[in-house]
Amino acid sequence: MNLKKAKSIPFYIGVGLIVFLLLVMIISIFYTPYDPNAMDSANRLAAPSMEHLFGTDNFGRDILSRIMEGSQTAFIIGISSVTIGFIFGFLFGAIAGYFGGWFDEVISRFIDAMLAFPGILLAIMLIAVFNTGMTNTIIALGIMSIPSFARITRSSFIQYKEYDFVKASIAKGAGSFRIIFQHILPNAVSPILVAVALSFSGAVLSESGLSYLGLGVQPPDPSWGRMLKEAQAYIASAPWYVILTGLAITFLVLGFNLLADGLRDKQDRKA
Amino acid sequence: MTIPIIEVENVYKYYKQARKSFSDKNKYVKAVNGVSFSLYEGESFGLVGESGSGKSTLGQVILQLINQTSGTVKYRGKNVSTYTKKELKAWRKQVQIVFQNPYASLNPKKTIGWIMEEPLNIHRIGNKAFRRQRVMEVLEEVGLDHTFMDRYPHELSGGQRQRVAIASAIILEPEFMVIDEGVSALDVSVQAQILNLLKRLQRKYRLTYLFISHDLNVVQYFCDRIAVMYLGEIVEIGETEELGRSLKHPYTKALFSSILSLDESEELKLLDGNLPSLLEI
Repeated sequence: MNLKKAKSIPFYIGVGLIVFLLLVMIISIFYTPYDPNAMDSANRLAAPSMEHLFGTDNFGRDILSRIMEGSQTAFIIGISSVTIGFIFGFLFGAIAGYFGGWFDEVISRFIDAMLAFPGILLAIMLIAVFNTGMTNTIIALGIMSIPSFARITRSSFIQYKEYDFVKASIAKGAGSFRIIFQHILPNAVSPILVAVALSFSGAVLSESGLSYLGLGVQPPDPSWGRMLKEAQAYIASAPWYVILTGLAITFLVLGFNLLADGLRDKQDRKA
Repeated sequence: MTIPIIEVENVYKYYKQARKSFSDKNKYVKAVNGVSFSLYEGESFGLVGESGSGKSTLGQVILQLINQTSGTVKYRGKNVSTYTKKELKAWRKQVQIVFQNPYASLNPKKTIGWIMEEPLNIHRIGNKAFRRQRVMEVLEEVGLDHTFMDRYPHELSGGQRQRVAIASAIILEPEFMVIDEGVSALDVSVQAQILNLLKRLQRKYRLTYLFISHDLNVVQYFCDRIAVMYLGEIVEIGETEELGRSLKHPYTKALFSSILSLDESEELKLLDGNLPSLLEI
């Protein structure tokens, strides 16, 4: 029992981090201590103080306000790209796993090819073609996460389609739609949830990476990745800028990774 | 005993074995190897054989859950492979299956009420109130009550689950049912209850059963006719009473002598060795 509790601790830390950052994000919609874009040239690169809790950046903008504002971008990109990845990945994976045959072969080889290709390179390529910006970043990251969803869904469907309850339902006249959504999906939820959490953290990280390279979210949309890039130049004179921004990214990514680990543990214990 | 409800003619089911290297020849597992027989309305037909003899495969081929490699299955004189999609769905109302393992045959994420109502939903029978009413009726018929409707399969015992599986099969009032090892996973006392329930339902709904089992005692008790399957073929077929007396095939002789009797003077003729591989025959 105690072991079980001890094992759950990282899971709750993960949930705590996500809930905390989610609250920060919601608050930032209505309130930030300062206008995130208001410049104050008299107060450039100020150290953290009571006035500016996280200090100010090279234009004298309040870093706390900018990190809060940036959390919106992080969540929007995470949620949207995971949604895209989930919808297409689930559909391809479900059809491939359930029907098998040549369609499965084509999709599986396609997934293999996409997995063999570095995801971030693919995203850079897509952005080079479609140009930078929030929407294109979301699309690129969404496409990047399709193969992992497709693979997990496919393996669950291959496993469950042989179950007696599925066969019994087919024998009663159920169509493919009913089998896929009523019988197999509810049983495949937990591995898919793990994939959701992991690809969320992956998306946040990739977005930061892209924005750091100047390929992701463009001004005036705030982004943690771009803040990191700007902070880099002042790493010696204003270390808090880079540290605090980096911590924001770390916490969000760590939160979702711990959540995914915890979900997987729970699932293993049940099985 | 006049009109066959199911006719199985020369049915083969081969599974291709994966080749280990390019020089290997294609090998096939001959799960069902040329089987023919007919089932008549209202009878219980037993299909016995040991694991791997192809009896479950045959049962699923008859219901078209697995497609046969060759041969035909006829339902009331009509070849079921020629059914259109619509006809197939209508036919699925007439034929049902109950599986061996009641722990795997009910969707763990759905309530008993949902599972029971599903067949009615699939075929769009009645309105919500009618369906609830019908579910309760059938639950009572198999010896469960309406309190089970909101429970999940994991809250039920093996016998109760098997009753649910049977109930969800008879709710459409089928004419023909495959019972694939339907009582093998249950305790002996529960087996008897389920067998009696199946007999009662047979009288009420004029059901025809294909009863697949490896347990000769159960089959002899339950079935009017018996077929013995061995390595994908039917080696013996006949009325239950006669079959015990006039055995022809050495395998069935050994099989029948393995039934435990209380007569101590009789010595058991046990089978030696393993089954040959289905790849080699």
